[in-house]
Amino acid sequence: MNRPDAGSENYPVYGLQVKRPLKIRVLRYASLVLAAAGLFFLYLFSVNRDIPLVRIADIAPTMNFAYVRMAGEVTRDAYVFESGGIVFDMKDGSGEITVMGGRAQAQALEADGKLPQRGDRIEVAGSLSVSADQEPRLRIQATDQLILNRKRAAANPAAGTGLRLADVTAAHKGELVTVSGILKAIDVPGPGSKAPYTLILEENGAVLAVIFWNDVFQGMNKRLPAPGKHISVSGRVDVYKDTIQLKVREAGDLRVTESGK
Amino acid sequence: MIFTAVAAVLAGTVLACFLAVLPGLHIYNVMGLVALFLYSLQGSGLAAMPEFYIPFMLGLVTGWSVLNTIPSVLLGAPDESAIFTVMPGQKYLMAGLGYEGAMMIGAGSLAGIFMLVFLIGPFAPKFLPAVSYVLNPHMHWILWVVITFILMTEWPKFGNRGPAGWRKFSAAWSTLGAGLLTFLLSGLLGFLLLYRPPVSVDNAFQNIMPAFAGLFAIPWCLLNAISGTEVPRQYVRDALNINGDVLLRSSVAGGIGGGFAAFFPVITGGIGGLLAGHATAQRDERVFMISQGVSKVVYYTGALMLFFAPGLFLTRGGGALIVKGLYMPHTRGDYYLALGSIALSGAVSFLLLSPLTKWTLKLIGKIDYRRISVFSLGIIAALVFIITGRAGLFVMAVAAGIGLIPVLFGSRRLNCLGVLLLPIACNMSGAGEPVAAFLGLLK
Amino acid sequence: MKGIAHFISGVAAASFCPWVVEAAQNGNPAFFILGAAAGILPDTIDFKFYRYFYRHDVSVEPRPDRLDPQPVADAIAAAVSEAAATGRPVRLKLCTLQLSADNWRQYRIRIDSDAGEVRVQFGPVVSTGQVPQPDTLPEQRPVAVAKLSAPVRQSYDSVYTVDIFDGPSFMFKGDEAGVVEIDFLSWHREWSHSFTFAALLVGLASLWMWQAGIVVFGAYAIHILEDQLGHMGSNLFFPFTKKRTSGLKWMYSGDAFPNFGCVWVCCLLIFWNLYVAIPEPLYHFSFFRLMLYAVIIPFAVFGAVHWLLVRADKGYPEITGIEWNI
Repeated sequence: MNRPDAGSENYPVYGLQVKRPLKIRVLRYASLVLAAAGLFFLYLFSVNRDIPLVRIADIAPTMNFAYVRMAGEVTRDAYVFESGGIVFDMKDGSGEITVMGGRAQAQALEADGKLPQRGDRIEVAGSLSVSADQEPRLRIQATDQLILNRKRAAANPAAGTGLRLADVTAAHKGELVTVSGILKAIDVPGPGSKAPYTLILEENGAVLAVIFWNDVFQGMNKRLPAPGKHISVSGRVDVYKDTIQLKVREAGDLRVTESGK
Repeated sequence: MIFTAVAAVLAGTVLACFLAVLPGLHIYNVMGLVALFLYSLQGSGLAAMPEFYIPFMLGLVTGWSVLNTIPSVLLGAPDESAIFTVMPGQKYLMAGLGYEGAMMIGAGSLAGIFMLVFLIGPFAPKFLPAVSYVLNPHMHWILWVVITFILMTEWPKFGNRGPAGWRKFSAAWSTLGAGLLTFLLSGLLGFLLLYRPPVSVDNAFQNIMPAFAGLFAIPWCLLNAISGTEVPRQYVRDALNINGDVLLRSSVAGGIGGGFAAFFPVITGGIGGLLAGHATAQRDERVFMISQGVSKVVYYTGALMLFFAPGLFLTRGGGALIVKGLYMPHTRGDYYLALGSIALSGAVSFLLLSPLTKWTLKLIGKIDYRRISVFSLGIIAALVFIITGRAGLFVMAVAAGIGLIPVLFGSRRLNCLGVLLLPIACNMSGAGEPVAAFLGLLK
Repeated sequence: MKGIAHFISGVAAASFCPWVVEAAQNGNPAFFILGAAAGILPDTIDFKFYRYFYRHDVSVEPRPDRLDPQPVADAIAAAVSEAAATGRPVRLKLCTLQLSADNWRQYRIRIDSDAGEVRVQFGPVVSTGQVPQPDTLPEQRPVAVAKLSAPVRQSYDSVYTVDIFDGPSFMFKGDEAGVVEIDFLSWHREWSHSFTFAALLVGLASLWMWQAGIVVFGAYAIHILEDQLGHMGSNLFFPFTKKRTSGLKWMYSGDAFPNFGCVWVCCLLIFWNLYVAIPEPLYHFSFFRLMLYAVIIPFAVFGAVHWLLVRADKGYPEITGIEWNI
């Protein structure tokens, strides 16, 4: 058989003939339209795809740089470095992993009151860093993809001995007690200050200072109860410069209650 | 992520280019090999990204379904003594119009991709769940009705001459009888493969593959290899003897056939094409050819696409079954990935069709197409052996014996699909077990 | 109608019987298979059984090496004469000319009742797909003419093309007035497409179950009624009636749109019948909505696109390149 004959006048006639044959280049242009549509669909895919949920135990070396989601519980309070970065640990039942973020992520989380604390349920997305010389880590890229459910303190009768404000004395130092009263005043520390937040509770003329630091404030989603509200709080009795105060360790230990309850 | 997907699609499409040119080789065989490779990776503790292998598989299937037009038109010259039914594509080859024949079918394939991406794709998640819900309990009788149609509508090829009587009747029924016998024998083979497969359980996901290779691919390659006809001079031009209306009618016919096959279980593209061809009553050979191009793409690629359709996630066709073992789609994002991969691969495949066809024409000018068929025969046998071992080769040989009946007696090759249709229809109706017990397969 | 239209009509007819759908829901496909088979059975009986036993009085076999149309024309005229003279039916078969596995010599006959003559001419070689092969017209293409000795009445077309597979057959029968009636494909629909034969089959099916009898009757009757839409018609009450009742001439059996329309609508009717049989369906839609989305809108879109494409081509007809002078 000879080489194909291109476009000669001897082109064979076979069957019914159309007067205006369809040019192949029309079909080629159509396929370019199709290719453009294909790229558009691939774009839709990339913006609509679910970030895969991965178990810590399933992390493999080939997953380095993979953008994944993890869900579990925070095992170490978030720590913000002086340099600005953030780190905390989480577990999901199959293992534990360190989660890190940069200055921007730390600032954003702090501003939103979403710094993770031990016991919080968390769902976070980020890129995996897997290398031979260290444990896998998850690097947060966008704080929008961090979903936090704060740990609520269970109603625990052993949370502390219920006392009236007037009955809290220096003899109770170190004890875990639960008191309630009307919030009279709030003292918020200035920017950069290491002083605690101070709430003054009053009950039947007796007053008591309730103090906590920024981590508890973060746990309260940076929202303080308004003066006049009836507050129930559990904490350890402490004496600082002859002043009896109640140290609160977790945000769940401070609740606004209805009067008398 | 887009770049990964694009690279994967292009890789699959380019690989399909090479595979599609080989006559008789089926893409599901290659997908099976790819799946085996991915399983072995998983077994070694490595993981391949779905964002890579899914578009790769889609590129393979789409590219192959467009480009396997080339061997079906160019790599088979019908021999007078052996071929009773000459396919229109081969007629074009013998008229010197092999390039135009291949490009016409390719135009149909392109139209099929357009239908999938712009018509079926957007509407399938909306309408097909309701259709599936209504029809699912009735798949068993639908299958039986299709079987009845296939068996009752075969046309006798002989018995046109001579005096009336039993001799004339027997001459006519020789082809019909061969068709029925083919269906029954292949159905029996299907029962054996379903209940007592000779293939090792480790590769059970491909235990039907040797049968298909033997029933369809081997007879075609064998006949090509022994054909005594030479391919005449071929002509090439940049236009096709069709217009928009011919393309439209072909697209409707092929789309219905391929869509029917993609949606219903066990129904393959050939059956869908047969049904649609009868239903649309198109007599023009060009419409037949183009609609075959549409039907092929809508069936193979559409079946895999429906696997990703939200609300459906239908497993139809060997491709979806193979992918299902590796990945389950969940989201609309997966569907966009499928549509995008299909569109991109379809476009690239069509653009490659013309140069590949010309290259193949030059190739068959230098190398006898019979040698290519023998080479292809070797590759198919090798693939069957690699995946399914000696037992698979034996099954393939037996199936080839059955597959030669329609070719030599002039009956429909579709009857070979009894290998799937009969056992599955029996099982769906609850008759599978009694039949298998009768055959002694349940001991 | 084509076979698939009759076939699916039989299935659709069966789907209207509640016991059929119920049985299918319980895993029993028998009634639907029965309906499908009964739907196509009349043509199966004729084309796969009866015609091989139908005897012809005259068999015209042109010679491929001597393409002379005159003997063909003379044979037809002679059959007309014999029928007119004797009053007995004369069955004539025109054989095809198969040249090879895929090549057939085509020829055409026109029985011109107005001019009282039959004309025959040979044409090109065609493939089994009826595509004319290039450069195969005979060098000489005379038109043979034979005068008819009696007036003729035709129930079908006046032009017949003989090319692939089995050739056409005719029955010539003279009446008291001396007019010869020409029946095309006389063995077809002679008795198989009758309600009386359907009743016989119903009786046989009812030996199994009366419900099966109903299904068979519905599917068989649908086939007969569909065929009455065409030209040929059927002998509806054989043996009480002797001749085919002419059809409504609304369509030809191979027309694409009526065939596809019938198949598609039947599929939708089947779907609807299956849907209404679901006691508490998950999806809710009306018959009108089904027809709107599945028939009206797609057909309208197809029609519009088809019209636009034909208009864009300026309605150019395709060139056949073959001229006939009969």
